[in-house]
Amino acid sequence: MSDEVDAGTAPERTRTAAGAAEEGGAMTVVHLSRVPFADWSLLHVPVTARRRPARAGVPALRGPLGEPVPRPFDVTGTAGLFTIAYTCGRPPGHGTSERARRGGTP
Amino acid sequence: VTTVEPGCLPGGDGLPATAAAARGRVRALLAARLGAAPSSDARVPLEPPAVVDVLLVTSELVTNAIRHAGGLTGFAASVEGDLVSLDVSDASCSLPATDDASLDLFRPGGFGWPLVCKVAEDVRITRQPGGGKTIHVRVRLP
Repeated sequence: MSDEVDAGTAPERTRTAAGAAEEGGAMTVVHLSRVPFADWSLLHVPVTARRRPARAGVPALRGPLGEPVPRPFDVTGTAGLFTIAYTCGRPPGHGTSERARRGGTP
Repeated sequence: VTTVEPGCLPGGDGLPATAAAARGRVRALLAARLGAAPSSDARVPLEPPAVVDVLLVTSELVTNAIRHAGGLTGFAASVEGDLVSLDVSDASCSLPATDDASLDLFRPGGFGWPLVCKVAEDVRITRQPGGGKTIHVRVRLP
């Protein structure tokens, strides 16, 4: 993904993520490193992908993530629903949280 | 007090047509307030956490006004001290849904209002004499 994610752009991204999930891969990875800002519409993207068949696995959100992008997940308490890799070099860990990103225990 | 209303900033003629345009105006306002050079390039991530919250609230209120409340009829943002004030008017007299049934992750816009209330310092709603309402939200900067 690139550019901002909001109610105007989220539906197309949601369809793309859902389509990827339906292809049956082991995991759906949403690359967000080029997304500078996302409002709460971003939540629909991995949530919709997560509703797809279990074979698609838990969606993963891949960074590096700027400060704005994880914020909707932090505020809503939904960060634990997904695998979030805040940096490209860091192995994704399920349920990585704001605390983990700041150096705490995942 | 630093204020931005329609016509006060480049690209600010009239009401913002989209949530992205509204965020752009708030970004410019906050960039001026925080001493950073405003950027018209939305791809440049410049927002610290508190600014992100202001942009999230802006996005939600403007999106809701445009999509669910008969259209945006007013938009103003200002900064005084460490408080950012947003006034967003729409054409509907209906109040935003506040019940748990609105917390639906699968319905666009279905969970934004409770989250606006969560990150805002305070929220007020005033009805307009000629119809419609204005939502006044204040978000505190760190």
